[in-house]
Amino acid sequence: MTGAFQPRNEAELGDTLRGCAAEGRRVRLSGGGLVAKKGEGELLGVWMFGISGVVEIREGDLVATARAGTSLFEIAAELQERGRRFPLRPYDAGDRATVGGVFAAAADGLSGRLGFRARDVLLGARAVLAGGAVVAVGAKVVKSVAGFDVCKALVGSRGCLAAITEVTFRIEAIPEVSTTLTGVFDDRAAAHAALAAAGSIALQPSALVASPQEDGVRVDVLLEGPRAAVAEAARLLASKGLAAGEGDWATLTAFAALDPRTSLALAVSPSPRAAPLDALPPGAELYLIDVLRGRSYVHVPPASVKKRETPPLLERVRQAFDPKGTLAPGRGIGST
Amino acid sequence: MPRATSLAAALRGVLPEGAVLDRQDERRVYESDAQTLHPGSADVIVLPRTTDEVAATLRVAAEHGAPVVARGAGTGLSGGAIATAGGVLLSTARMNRIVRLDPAERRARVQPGVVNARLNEAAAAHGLRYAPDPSSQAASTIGGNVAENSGGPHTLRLGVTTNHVLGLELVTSDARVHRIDDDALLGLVVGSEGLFGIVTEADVRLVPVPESIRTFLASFRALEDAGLAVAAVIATGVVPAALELMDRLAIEAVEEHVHAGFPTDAAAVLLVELEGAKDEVSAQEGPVLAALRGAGAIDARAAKSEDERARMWKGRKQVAGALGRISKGCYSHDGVVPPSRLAQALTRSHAIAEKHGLRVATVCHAGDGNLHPLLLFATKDADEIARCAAAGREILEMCVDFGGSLTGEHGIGGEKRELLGLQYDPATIDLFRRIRDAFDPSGRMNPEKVFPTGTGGLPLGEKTPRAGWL
Repeated sequence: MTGAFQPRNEAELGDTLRGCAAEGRRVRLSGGGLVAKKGEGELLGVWMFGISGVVEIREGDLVATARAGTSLFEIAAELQERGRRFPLRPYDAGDRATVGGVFAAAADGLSGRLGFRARDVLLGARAVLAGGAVVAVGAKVVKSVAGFDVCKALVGSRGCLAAITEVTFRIEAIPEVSTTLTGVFDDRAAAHAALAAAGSIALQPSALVASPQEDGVRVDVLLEGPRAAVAEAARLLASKGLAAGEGDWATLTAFAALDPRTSLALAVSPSPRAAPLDALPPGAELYLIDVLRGRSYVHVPPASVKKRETPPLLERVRQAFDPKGTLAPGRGIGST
Repeated sequence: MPRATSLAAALRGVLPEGAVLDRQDERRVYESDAQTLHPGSADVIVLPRTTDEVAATLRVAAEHGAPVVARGAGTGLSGGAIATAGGVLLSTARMNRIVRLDPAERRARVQPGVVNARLNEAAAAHGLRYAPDPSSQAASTIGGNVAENSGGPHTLRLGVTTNHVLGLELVTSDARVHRIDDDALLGLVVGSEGLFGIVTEADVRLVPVPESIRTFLASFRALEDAGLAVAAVIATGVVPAALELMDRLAIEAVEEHVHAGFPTDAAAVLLVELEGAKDEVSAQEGPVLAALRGAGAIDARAAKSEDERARMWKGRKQVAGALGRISKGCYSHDGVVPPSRLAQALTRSHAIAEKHGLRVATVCHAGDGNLHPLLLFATKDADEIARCAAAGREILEMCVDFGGSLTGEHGIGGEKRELLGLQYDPATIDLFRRIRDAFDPSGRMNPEKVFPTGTGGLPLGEKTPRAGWL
C-alpha cells in the first residue's frame, strides 16, 4: 500500500483500517485536504473526501445527513434550494472543506444562532473505529438521550478517535436579512461599550467580534432575522458607533479557523464577556475576540505558547476508541 | 460483619454526624423515583455537603467494593436513581449552594443539589435564566439534570442541558476529583446517567430573559391534524421557544384540575410560544398562525395577559398531576420521532394502547418530536401493568422505526436497558461500554443501568404510583 489512500465508501475504509490494524500500521486522516499530508514510511494518509454525497435533507425537520467527505460547498448549494443553510460558517474561503472535517476539527467559525458551535449542531454520526468496526452514534432527530453522547467526543477529535463517515446535523432557515455593523474605536472604553451594547440587545447577534485596526479596535456585529427586527437593532446600536458596513468575515473567519496545535504562534483562551480587551496578554497586537463564544485568538511569540496537557480522563477515552494508538499519531486531542 | 453494617460504620468514620442513614425506615424514602414502579433499596444513604465528603464516600465504597448510585431529587422517570444493586445511595440534597452567579459573564457555578427553579429565581434578579426547564424543575436538581441531559418545553429553541454546561467537577469511582472543561469530556459526562462518577459542581450558562414573549393556543378537531400542524410550524423555519401538544384525555384531566382554559371539545391543543426581540416575534407570528390554520386549527388565539399565559403553562405542566385524579396508575413513556412523522406516531401510539385495552393520554414536546404517551392503569392489576409494559415497548419500537430515539429526556436508566439494542448495534454498545470503563473501570457507579443485563428491564412493581413529571 502506498503512502496515501482515498477510500470510496465506508466498507473500503473499514477494510483499510482493519488491514492497518493487522499490520500494526498507523493512519492519519484528512478531510478536504486543508490539512492533508501524505503518509510517510509506516504512516498511511487516508483522505476522506471520496466518501461523499448528501444522503438526506429533511428541511421540514431542520435536519440533514451527509457523508463526511461531502464539501460544504455542495451542502450549501443543496440547502439553499430548499431555503435552508448550514448553521455555521466555519471556513469562508474553503470550498474544499468537508462537512466531516468541520466536525472533526470543531471548526466553529464565528457565527451561529445563540452562539451555537459545531458541538451543538452535530446530532448523529457513523464512524469507523481503528480496528475497522463501524459504529453509529447519536440520532437523526434533534433530541435524544439514548446512550452516551459520543457525538460530543467526535467533535474536535481531529481524527484521533475514529474516522467519521457520515454526519447528521441541524440546519436552519435562511434569515430574511443579514447585516453587518462595524465600528472602529480609538479607546478601549468605547469599544467595550459597543461590545456590551451589541451583546445585550434583544435581537441576539449571530456574531460579535473585536479585532485590531491600525487606529484602534474594530468591532463587527452580524445581525440576522426578520427585516424589521434587524433594522431596529441597527438603529439602537447606531448610537454606540456601530454602522452598516461591509464586514470582512472571510479574513476574520480564516483567523479563527487556524488550529493552535499546528499554528505555533497562536494561543486560544477563554475570554471574559465583560471588558474582554483588558484580558488580552500585554502587547498583543494581532488578536480576535469571539465575544459570543467567550474565546480569544491571540498571535503570540511561539515560545510563550503553553502546550496544553491532555487530561488523563480524555486520554483514557481515546484509548477506549483506539487502544493501539493507530489513528493520528502525534496529533493533539482535546479542546484548544 | 455483613457488608451493609461494615459499610455504614466505615462511612460514619469519615463523614460528619447525621450524614449516614441506614435504618430501614430512613432508607425507604429513597427506594423509588417519580415513576414509582421500580423500587430498589440501598444499604446505606449518605448525604454529603462537600466535594471532599463525596470523595471520602467513594473511597470507602471502593474499599468495600460497594456500588454507588447518585440521586438528586428523585424526580427521574427511568429508574436511574434507584439502588437496585444495594450499596451506597449518595443524595446530593445537602449540596445545594449556588457557589457564585456572575451576571456580567452570564454564568453560574452551582453544587449539584441546587434545584433548577431556584437557580432560575436567582438568575431572574439579573434579567437572566437557566434555559433547560424540565417539567420537574420546581423539584429537580442541576446534578440530576446533568446526569439525564434534561430537556423541557423551552429547549426547542435554546437547546438541552448539554448546550448550557460549561464546566464540571466530577469525582470518579477511585475517589479522584477531576475539574473538567474539555468539550469532549463535558459532552460525554452530561447524560451519562451517573455511570461515570458523581458531579460535585457545575458551571452553567445563563441566557437573557427575552424582550418579548407571545403564547398561542390552537385547538384541533383531530389529533392527527395537531400533529400535522406541528410539522407545518417547524417547516416554516421559525423555531418557536416551545411547541407543546396535549390530546383530549390530557385536556380533560387538566381542565378539571386547574381550569387552564383549554377547550374540552377539542381532540388536541397546541401551545406555541414565540420569544425574542419584539419585532422578531411580531414577524414570526404570521407564518406560524398561517401554518396552524392551514393544518386545520379550528381556533388559534394569543394569551391576552401574563395571567392567561401563566394559566396555560400551569395546565401544561400539571398534566401528570391532573391524571392522578382519573387514574391511580400512570406509566409515562418518552420517545422521539422526526416532527414530520409526529401525526402518524400519535395515531399509531393511540392504536397500540387501544389494542392492549389501555387508556392513554399524550403530551408532547412536539416541536422536538418528543412524545410522552401516558398509559393509565389500575395499580393492583398485574395483568394491566404487564399490558402497559408491552404497549410501552411497542411505542418505543415505533419511535426507532420512524427514525427517532428511545428517549428524548428521561434517559435509559433501568427501565429501557434491554431496549438499547433497538437503537444501537452491538459494536456501538461495545464502544459505550469501553467509554464507561474509561471513567469507571470498576463498574460500580450506578450498576444495572443503561446497558442490557439480559435479565429484562427493571421489573414493574405494584406500588401505588404518584404522578410523574413530563
